[in-house]
Amino acid sequence: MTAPTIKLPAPLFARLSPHPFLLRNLTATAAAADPARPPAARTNGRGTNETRPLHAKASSLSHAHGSSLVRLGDTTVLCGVRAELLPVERIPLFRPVDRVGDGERGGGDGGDGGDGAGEGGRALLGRGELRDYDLLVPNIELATGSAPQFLPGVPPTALAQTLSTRVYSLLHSTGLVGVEDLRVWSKPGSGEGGDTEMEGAGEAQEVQEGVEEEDRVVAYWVLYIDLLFVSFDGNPFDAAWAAVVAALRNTSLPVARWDPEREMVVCSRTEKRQLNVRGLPVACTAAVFEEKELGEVGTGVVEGRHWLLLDPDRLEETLCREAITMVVDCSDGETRIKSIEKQGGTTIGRELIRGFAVIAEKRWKEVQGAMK
Amino acid sequence: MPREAEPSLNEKQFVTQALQENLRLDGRQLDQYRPLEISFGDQYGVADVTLGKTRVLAKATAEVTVPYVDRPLDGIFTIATELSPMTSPAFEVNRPTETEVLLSRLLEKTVRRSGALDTESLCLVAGQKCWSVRVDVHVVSHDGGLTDAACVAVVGALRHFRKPDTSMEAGRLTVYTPAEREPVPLSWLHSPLCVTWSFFGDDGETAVLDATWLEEQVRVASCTVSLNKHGEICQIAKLGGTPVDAVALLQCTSVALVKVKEFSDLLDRRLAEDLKRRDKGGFMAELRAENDR
Amino acid sequence: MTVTTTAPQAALGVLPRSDGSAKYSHAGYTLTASVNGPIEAQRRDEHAYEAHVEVIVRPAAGVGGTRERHLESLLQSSLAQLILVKNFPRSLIQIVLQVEDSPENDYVNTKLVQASLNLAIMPALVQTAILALLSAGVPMRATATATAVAVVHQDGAKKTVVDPSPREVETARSVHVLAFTSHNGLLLAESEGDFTVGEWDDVYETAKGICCRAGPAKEGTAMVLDDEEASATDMRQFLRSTMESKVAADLHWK
Repeated sequence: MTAPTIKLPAPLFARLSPHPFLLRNLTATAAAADPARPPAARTNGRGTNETRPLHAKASSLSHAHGSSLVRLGDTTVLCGVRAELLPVERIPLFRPVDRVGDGERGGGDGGDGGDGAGEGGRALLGRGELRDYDLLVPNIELATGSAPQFLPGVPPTALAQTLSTRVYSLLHSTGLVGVEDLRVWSKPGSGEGGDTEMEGAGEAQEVQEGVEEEDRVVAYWVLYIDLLFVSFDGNPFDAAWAAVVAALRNTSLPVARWDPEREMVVCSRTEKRQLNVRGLPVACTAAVFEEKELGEVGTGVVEGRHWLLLDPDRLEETLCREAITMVVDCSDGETRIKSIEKQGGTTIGRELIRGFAVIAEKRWKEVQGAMK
Repeated sequence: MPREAEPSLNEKQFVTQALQENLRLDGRQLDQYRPLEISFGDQYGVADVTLGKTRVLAKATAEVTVPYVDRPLDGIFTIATELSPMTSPAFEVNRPTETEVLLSRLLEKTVRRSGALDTESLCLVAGQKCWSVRVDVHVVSHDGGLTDAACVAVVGALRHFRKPDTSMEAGRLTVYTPAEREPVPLSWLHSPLCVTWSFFGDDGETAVLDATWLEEQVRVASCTVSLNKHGEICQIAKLGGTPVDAVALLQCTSVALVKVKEFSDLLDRRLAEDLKRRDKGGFMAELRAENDR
Repeated sequence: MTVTTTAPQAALGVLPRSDGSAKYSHAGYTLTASVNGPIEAQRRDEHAYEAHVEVIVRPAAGVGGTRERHLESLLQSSLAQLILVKNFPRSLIQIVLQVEDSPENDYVNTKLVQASLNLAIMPALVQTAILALLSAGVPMRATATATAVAVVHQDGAKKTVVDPSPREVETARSVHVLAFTSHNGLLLAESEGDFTVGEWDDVYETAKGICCRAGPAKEGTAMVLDDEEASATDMRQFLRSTMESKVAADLHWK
């Protein structure tokens, strides 16, 4: 007796019952001893731990200060960075900073609270400049038609808002861009020389002699980081974050100096200065696919099998509830975790997160290669 | 969204008839308020007002912004009211209902237009920088008397609020953090409060103070009088409904004055108590002492 | 600066007109939550096989922005795992969280609308939502407890701070929020800053000690627990005692 079999073409099967479709694909080898059948894989042909290759192309926009185009399979993100000058008079809560105080911190803007609680006030203020004056403004748009679920003429979806919060938080917590790069001082001397000299406190004092006005910050660069999803096929955060990093690495700002006669900031037409980007944080996302459809989680023991699908596509994302994103940076030789975001279930426990750090490290190397 | 169930015909008749016989469902007198309680939060500018089962929360905040072009010498003062689904699932986020619109307009007229807060004192640099004071009114639980409770909460929050201290030196404005300098209170001129009368019966001959939600659904007309404890009327709103005898309305306003005096005293007392509580050493005082410059 | 670790406080059923409600305050945060459900769902939110869980987070000041949307989505995905959503197809379970008071950083003048993620409020949000759901009698698989831990580097020494103040969050090298179900499953893990796997492990241990003190959930352990001196904050025990006192108060007439 053979069980009656209904032959369904794969796309129809996927459409009708996506969960069993993915499950069958993942358990293919177990079901069939037939050597002709392909080994267990995801519906997109990848292994569970296999990511889509990341392609990054820099300066794809001609009128932006920096831009990038990142492709992750069928997910394509375009990122443009536009810089605008913000005079300090227009900042309501502006507090003057002095260069010496800045030098003491040794560029520690990025988030090490090394200065501790003692001389907290000013140092902390410097750290908060980026956030208090809103110097980094990311915005994410999911273009109509990039995926069927995005409709025209509706307010930003919850997904777009969530993504932009995540990008914003990560930009600040990783300290990717230092505030000293965005400051425009009233005295030249350190500006053109690149930011390494900016920390030389002695130099600032030299310039001071014989001048009636003291050196002060006159303006800030505000970086508008706009992301546009041209096509959307899952894993938006990894792609968006890679695009932001690639675009910022590509950004160069015109050299700006203060013109005391006209009392305004003047930008050079030709001279440009590369933006300093600290480190290379890379995001790595995986979703948990459970054998039991509409899984019964939360009882502590994991019922049924589950698979950790790295770099999930759109179909997989709709079938998974639990997801983990880890952002790592191995550029100093040591693996530093910048962020972990795990939500939506209890399958991923401590061991899996530990193991995931290794996967994220591997991903970092791949992305580093692609970013070169 | 699910709609609120309206009281049945029987219920309506019962409530109206009882009121005509000078009886209220909760046993109060017709001109008696439910117990009003005010408490303040740990942070400055948080006032929590309960009136029977009605509970309103107000939070005041201040921020430095650019003043409006047509009013360069004035600061900005806004009152934001939103009825969240917490009040009732019938309310939806970002979709104002009539109740909400009326409430925010009444509060606006009572507190803002009566000049309770000196907006000129909020100006920092003419035409360039000013304080923007904002009060968020959160209705946590709604059982009638929303306007009266919300008004007490707004006034309480603003009087309790302290904004950061500022200084001008050589044309440069510095806003001090609370750790550097003790925040300062707003320049407050008078405290207008609302008293709402509800009218029942065919000609609106029964006037009732502080109607509950059930009574509010049954009433034929209502009138909100806003005045301060000096007896200065800031606004009167009788928005449609059955016509009410003018002389009766006059009687209402004089009773309202008594109630407003009661509330003002309670508010003064609670504010004084809170001040005392804050002064009594503790963590904050310690923090202040070591940072006094 | 020392943090006065005050014990959490909670009251259930504070709102007369909602199905369930709770007021919770801990570490400077005060929140009120209301739960209504299962109620009729709107067409666009209706699921054929399960209840739609809607979470609304309302800040104390200003209108909710992208930050609140993110918090909502985090809570939504976690709570939907705990609620037995299959029991109520085509309906809605609505959870509204109103922030009443949050600790302020005395060293900065904060802006009204902030876009960056506020991790420190997460534990209070989770706890309040769970208490409100319990008060509403919404059937759940498990309860959850959450805590925030910050790793602070001070004078070259590493220090883990539980329930960090806003200032500690600002100076911390990394901030972590972990939520555990009552079956000791890791429900939510959010971390940001700069840390290693080893550091995260330590944080995990600390958080687990706070959230899952009661050990494996078994019948009859309650007796043993009562004898144990609640030295520091023990979230699970707190949840249990809050519920017990509420039930005792409700059954007072018997």
